[in-house]
Amino acid sequence: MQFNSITFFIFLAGVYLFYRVLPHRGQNILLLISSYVFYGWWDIRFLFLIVISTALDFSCGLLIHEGSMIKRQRTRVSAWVVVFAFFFVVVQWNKIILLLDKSKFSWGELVSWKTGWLIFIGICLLTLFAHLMYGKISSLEASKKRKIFLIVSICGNLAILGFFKYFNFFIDNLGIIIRGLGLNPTSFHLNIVLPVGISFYTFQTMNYTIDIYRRKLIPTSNIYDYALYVAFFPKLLAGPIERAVNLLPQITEKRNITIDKTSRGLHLILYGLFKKVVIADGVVETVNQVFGATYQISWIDAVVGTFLFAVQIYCDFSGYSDIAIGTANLFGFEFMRNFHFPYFARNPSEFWGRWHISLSSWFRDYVFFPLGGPYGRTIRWIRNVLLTFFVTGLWHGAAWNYVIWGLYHGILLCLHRIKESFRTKKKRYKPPLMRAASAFPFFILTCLGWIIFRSHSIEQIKNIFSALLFGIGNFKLNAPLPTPAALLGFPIFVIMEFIGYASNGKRIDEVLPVPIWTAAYAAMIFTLIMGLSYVSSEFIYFVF
Amino acid sequence: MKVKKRSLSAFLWGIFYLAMIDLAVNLIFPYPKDPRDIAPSTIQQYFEFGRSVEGKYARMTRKTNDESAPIVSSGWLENQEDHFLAKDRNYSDKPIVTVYGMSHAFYLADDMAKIDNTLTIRAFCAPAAVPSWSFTAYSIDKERQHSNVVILAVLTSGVPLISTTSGGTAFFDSSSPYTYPRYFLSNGILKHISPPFISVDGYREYFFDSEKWKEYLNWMKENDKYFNDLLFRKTILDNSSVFRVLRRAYASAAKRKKVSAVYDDAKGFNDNSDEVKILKAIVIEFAKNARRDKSLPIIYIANNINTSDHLFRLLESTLKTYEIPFLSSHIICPPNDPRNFLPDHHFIPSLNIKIAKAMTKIVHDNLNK
Repeated sequence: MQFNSITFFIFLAGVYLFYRVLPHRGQNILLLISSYVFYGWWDIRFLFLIVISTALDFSCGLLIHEGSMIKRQRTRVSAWVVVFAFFFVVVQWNKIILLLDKSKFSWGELVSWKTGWLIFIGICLLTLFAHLMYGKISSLEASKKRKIFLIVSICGNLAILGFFKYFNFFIDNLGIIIRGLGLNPTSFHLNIVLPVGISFYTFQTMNYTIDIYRRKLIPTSNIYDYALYVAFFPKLLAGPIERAVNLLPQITEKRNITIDKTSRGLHLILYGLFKKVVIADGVVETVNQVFGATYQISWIDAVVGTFLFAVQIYCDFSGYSDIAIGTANLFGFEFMRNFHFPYFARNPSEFWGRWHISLSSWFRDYVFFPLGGPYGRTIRWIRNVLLTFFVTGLWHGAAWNYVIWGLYHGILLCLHRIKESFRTKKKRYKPPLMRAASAFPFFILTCLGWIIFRSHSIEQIKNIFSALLFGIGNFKLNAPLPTPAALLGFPIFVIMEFIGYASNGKRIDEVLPVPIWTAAYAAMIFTLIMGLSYVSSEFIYFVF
Repeated sequence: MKVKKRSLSAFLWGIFYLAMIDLAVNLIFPYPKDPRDIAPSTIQQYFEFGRSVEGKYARMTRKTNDESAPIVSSGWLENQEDHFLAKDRNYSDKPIVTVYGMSHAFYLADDMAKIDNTLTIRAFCAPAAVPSWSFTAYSIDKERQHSNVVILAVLTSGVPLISTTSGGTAFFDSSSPYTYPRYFLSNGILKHISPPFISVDGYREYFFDSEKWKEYLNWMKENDKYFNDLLFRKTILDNSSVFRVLRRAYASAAKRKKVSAVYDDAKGFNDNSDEVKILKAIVIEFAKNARRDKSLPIIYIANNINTSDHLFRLLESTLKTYEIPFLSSHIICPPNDPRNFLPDHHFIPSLNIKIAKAMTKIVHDNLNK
């Protein structure tokens, strides 16, 4: 169920209607069930990973904070795991579809008699073991318990993430050692499917336990509330990576749905759809042609392809975030801002304060500062910056181009800080248009980074850079032009972005009179209808 | 109260602007009223794509061919004499090669005629003809027995459209009224059901008679997998550019859904689909009939841009099993290199020549055997 599909809007309308008539606790249960349905729509097999992650961090949170769990909580968590293990591991949901297709319904085929039951029995035994160990663990010293359960939570989450996302990557990179042992690295490869959204929800569950450990957050004692915090569908697949400090209180307390919030939500959904359907999907063919070329591309191909990828990734991801935040607004929630006009950034420091803010602030708070932050000797903070950007790159995917992209931004940031340390003059105020224009040099650097990010191999990076550097003058565009909807929508997009930037993030309906902003909305709707004719691509960040 | 008033005013302004956009598009980019005007601008065409098929037919069709748009009279199976290459009308002792297919097939025939004067080339083509059209064209070609070589062209994008019966249901954006039979397999045997008319005169007879036209629509409803009332029937909403754009979006989505059951850009063809089975049966039947007529059958596989060699891979085993000579364009014109294609997705002229040379070589090699 993609945000830009009819199915999603039918689903959203259905959930919303029920939501409006239910009391607070009923709303939470409804949202939890809807979130599991939403995720199961993608791949029901991996719902159990969310359940495991939820149970693990819910328990660790309580054990870190209180040092114990009451019997009812322990029983609930165990029941939670065992019931879902049965439904998501033993029951073969894919068979239902096949059986319905065949019009032959056999209950026997619905249950996996081999692997599914083995896993189920294993999970039951593990749950029993955890119960047996509880007595011993609870008698440990409080500070020890805090540390142990923080480590259990972090290791548990990283193990899930590491296995599903990085296993084959690590095997490939340990190739020399494996070959040295006389073995073939590829024989260790596992046919692993990456569960969608895993990088997002594991980071969210980790910040929950870390914040409890840092005594910044009091854990919830209600597993359903916590499960909703982990799985709330608008942000489940690609963020924003919400902090428990922000989201959990909104779940546990009654929410208000105001006209302002609803209109803000609708505005964000419309603008998000416009960015995704009209702009991002409208340029996707051009970008794919340039970055999928098996021939030496021309200079103009490289320039257009790179520029349009910068536009595509921003519109795709910020479009998703806008729809997510807008949807949350409709239900009375407030998510953190994920993008703040990043291409108007004039330096790397500003860029990372504007791009994928929920992730960059996560790395800042949970990696950069624990490493020592920007303090100490120059060499030390340079190390901290580079390490942080190394993991930022790796977070995006198990491939070296992401790591190089991360390090590229790390180096830019270090150079910027060094340059800033020599600055003596105070910055003068510049009008927005001047500020926007002065962002152009850094925009070029950002685009160069996107080449590394988007390329499939080092060879391709070389190919595009050589076209850019040595192919100047070759104006033969081989890639197809963006769709008419994208060409028509692009000026609207630029104007919308500039108004947002100049007014420090205000919506156009807040800064312009009704007859003017409604014209922009009508134009957006018209181009959106035009954009619907074209093939819709999956959101880029779903693979991260 | 203030918020409600503001919301209402915003809603009304929004409706007003959408109406203005609708009006502005119709005024600034009006589609030429004269059906003989065949050169509307790209943007005029773009906003016309979403008009209903009946609406498009009404725009292009008049009582005579001279008054109608040229597309009205093209592609009809019964008008086969129109498809000869003019210079080859007089038969000689030279071997006769007849090509059946779509525009790619026409370019092939045209270039073969240009580069090889030892052959007499006939072309029997329709715009974007699907394999069922090409096979019927071959089947009803009264002079096919004279042909020493018969070439059936198949285009990747045409395969999923085997279950259509008209250029109106196969191609919504640029519909053309020509018709062709619907093929199907009954106990493994290739059969077909013919539309009520396969000539331009027959079309006019039906189109200008509401009862007969209704009858035709009912026939399509039953036999054409791609027929859709919402897309076909003319309504007052045809006059709204916003609605036309919306209908085009719906048409694209509906077609994508149907095509994806047969073909996927990344994975290729679905071997279990009816369309694929029918295509293979058509190829086998074509070769069998040609051999019965003492002609040499050749299959020309034209691979669309960005479709890899999927069509070649789909037909390879059938062609080898039945020892049917073939030429697949992917060898000369890799489909994943956009430099090989014109903006309208035809091959660039230099590659058309190469393909024609390769085909004449196959023809001569096989004739000399």
